[in-house]
Amino acid sequence: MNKEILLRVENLTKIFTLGSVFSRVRIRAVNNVSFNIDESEIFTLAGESGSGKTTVAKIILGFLEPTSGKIIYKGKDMIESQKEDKRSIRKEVQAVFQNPFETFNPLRMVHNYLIETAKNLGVNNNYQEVIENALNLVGLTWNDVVNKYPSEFSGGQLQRISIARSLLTNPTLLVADEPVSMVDASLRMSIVNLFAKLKKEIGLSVLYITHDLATAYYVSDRIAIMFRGEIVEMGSVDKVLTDPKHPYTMLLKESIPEPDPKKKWTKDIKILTLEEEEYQMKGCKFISRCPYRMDKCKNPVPDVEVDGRVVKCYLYS
Amino acid sequence: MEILKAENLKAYYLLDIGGKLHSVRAVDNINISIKEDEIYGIAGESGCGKSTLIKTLYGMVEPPLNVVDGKVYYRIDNEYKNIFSMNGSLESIRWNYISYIPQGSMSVLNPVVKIIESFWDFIGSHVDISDKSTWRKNIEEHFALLGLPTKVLDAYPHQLSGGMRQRVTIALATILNPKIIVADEPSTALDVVAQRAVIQLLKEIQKSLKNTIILVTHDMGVHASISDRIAIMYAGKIVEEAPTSEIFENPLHPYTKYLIGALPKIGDKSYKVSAPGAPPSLINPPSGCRFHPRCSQAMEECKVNVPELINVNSEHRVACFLYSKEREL
Amino acid sequence: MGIFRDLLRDGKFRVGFIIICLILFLALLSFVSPYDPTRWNVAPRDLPPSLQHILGTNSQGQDVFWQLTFAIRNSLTIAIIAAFFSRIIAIIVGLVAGYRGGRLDRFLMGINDSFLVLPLLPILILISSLIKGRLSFVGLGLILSVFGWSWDARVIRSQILSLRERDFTYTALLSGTSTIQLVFKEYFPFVIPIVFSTLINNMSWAIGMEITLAILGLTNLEIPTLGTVLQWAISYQAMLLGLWWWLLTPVVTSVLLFVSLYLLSVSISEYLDPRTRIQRIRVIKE
Repeated sequence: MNKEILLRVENLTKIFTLGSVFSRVRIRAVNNVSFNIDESEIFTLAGESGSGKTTVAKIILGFLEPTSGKIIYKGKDMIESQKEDKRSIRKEVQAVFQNPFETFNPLRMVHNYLIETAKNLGVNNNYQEVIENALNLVGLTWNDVVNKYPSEFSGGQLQRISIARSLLTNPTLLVADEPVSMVDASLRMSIVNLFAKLKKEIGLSVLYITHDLATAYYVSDRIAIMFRGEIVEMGSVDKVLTDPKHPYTMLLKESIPEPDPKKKWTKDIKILTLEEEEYQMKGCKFISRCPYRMDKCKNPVPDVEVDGRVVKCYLYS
Repeated sequence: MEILKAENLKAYYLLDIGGKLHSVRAVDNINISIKEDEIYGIAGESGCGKSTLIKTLYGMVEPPLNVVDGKVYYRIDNEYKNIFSMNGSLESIRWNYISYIPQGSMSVLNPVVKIIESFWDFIGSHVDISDKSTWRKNIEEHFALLGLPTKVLDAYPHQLSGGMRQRVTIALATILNPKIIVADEPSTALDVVAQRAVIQLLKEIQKSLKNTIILVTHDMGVHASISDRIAIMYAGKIVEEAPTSEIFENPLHPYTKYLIGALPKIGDKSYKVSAPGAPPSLINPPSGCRFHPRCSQAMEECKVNVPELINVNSEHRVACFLYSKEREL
Repeated sequence: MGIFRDLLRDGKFRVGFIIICLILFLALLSFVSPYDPTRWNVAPRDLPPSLQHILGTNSQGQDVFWQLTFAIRNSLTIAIIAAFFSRIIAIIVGLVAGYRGGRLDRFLMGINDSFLVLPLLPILILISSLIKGRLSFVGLGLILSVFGWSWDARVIRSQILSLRERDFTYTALLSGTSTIQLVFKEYFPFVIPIVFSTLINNMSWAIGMEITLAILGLTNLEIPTLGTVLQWAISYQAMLLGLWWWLLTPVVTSVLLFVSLYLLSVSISEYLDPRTRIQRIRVIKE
């Protein structure tokens, strides 16, 4: 299975400076992150809020500039390409966001976005047909959608329209930032199943960003777990989620409320009062909560290959 | 023993939009009975009316929400009191008999004062707190019981993480040992790890105080973890109610089956299906059984008549014509 | 139009609209006035209201009613000029500063805030006394517009700042929308309500300013406006002389004008508020 690498993120770092002239705080929202996405692959970037995953997405989409690092898309430097030829990048890399009601302007009819995307991004003249096809792919028709405002749809329908819009230009990479977290639990699977179908039928790659490990397990091929701006574990979704190696991954997996009354949480856990401190740690950022911490964890942690995946932890080096 | 009862409860939002009167039937003929020493879960999608139901059970009914019919009883001192005819005295039992943790309760704390001040504000309006030093000790003991660090009392809300704020809010809601705690999506806005801490905290509190918690959340995983009984709500009505294990192992109502069947689990890659269609509007709900447009087993009767909640066995109730027919046979 | 019918359902709008229509009607009547407003002694002085002179005559020998029609026309013209041009400045400054941000934003807001803190009345008094008497009412309108934009520019800028961070901005960018298209198609529906309500408020403010300046004797008193008519009535001691019709006419008209502008402003901005619009959309389709 020799798939081509579609997107390569190399040593990506983004530092935000907050505060005024008198008290500056520098937060490393993304710290030296590297990963690849293959063609026809669903790759999950998982983590809680504040892990940096949305920042990575915004940089890939060209909405934020990185402090350092490279993004290589189809062999070319993406940040350079975005400055020179935004349009062709937009055709190939599209996105779907978390809140379907915010994705569209509440005062504009939704079909306008479909038409604009088709026209602006140079779909061939018969854009009506292209739009109808994209809507059919997500289980809707033009008549379902035309002349309606966002408030007339349910969250699930809007999210599907948002996905249809992103497919109009026949993209190769779809960045999906928490696409189902605001959709009712009973409707989530239809959207997640859609991603799997698109991967199989049109070879779409998806960068699936989420904190919901259960859907990540269900739909993705590989996964990277992010914590405070760093990737702490990365590998095939089977290995990482059924047999986690990094203490944080283990904690995440344990904390998921299983929809099975026979499996209840047994251990007690600690949560932090102040989150800022963790960002400033020089060594392993998880040190204050890790049950296995050692003295050497205060130093920057190397990436180690363990059992077919990459783990950032001194336990294994 | 029962501690809270709702009979034929109907609460609608009466809205005047563009000159016409619309009623949003968020709570439509609800009959439930909640016992002491249990965690009663209410589950359902967004827009099914569960938040409204819980506000009504708490007595927080302000326009445009109106109680159109029905009664809610609390059992106080072995007497059943209808809370809607209590007028002034309902205020006085709040917080020490029944307390409420609202959705997004992280904003319940006053952002410009220290946590301890918020405590004085809340407690002071119900109990005489002239003896602050004894009360401070009580609060610190309460925090210790809940596993919260006491240094938090002297911090400002913005200095705490979201999960910690939520736990402080829960501590606030339980300081006067209420008999009933009503929690509306207490862990929904939190990260997975913080969520677990909050849910475990609620369970600890219930275990030690042996009181009642009414927990509203759409997350079935949370219900599986702590609820003793679950009521499934759909479009303003309760469609099924049973002990937690029954609901997960033997769901009867077609909607419940979809709900349970659509839950992904780690280690399980089998194909999951969602319920088709979308939940109905509460202004103009479908006739008859409100789920019939999406139900694969809908019969003619379902389009016309509204199924009542009937007992399938002593603990399990369901509102579906599939089961009333079986009983008749 | 459907919008108009919807607006008429609101009692506030109905009242405000009726009053403003009456006032506009009076303003239009000025075109058929039998008297030249700048000439004195065209009628017997100090006559109380009668069939011949509906609102009586004043000490300058003018018919108060026909003076009023000119006064309303001129006051409204000043107000419209002031409000219109200041909107344009406010929109341009607010949009550019809000969307571009950075140095351009800081520069524009620096100018904006300087205008905000300028003591308005003393400066206007200074200008008026320098150009004394030679200022046409169009000129007055333009000067007022220069001072009336800074508050609203800031309001528009904050609106743009918050809109810029909303997801649908990103959706529009992903749809290949250019910056100009973005501002016009996505942001304008939010900005228009603000512009409308501040337009009407600005008109009220301009009329009030004009009246103030007139009473201080700083505007061209030969041109009849609500302010100048009032000023003449005061300087001729109308109250002491019992010429109540001369004094009350500009006062009552001004009050009615302010009230109707207020009612219109409130009801229109309520109607245009995105939140109520969304509610209306939902209900109409059901």
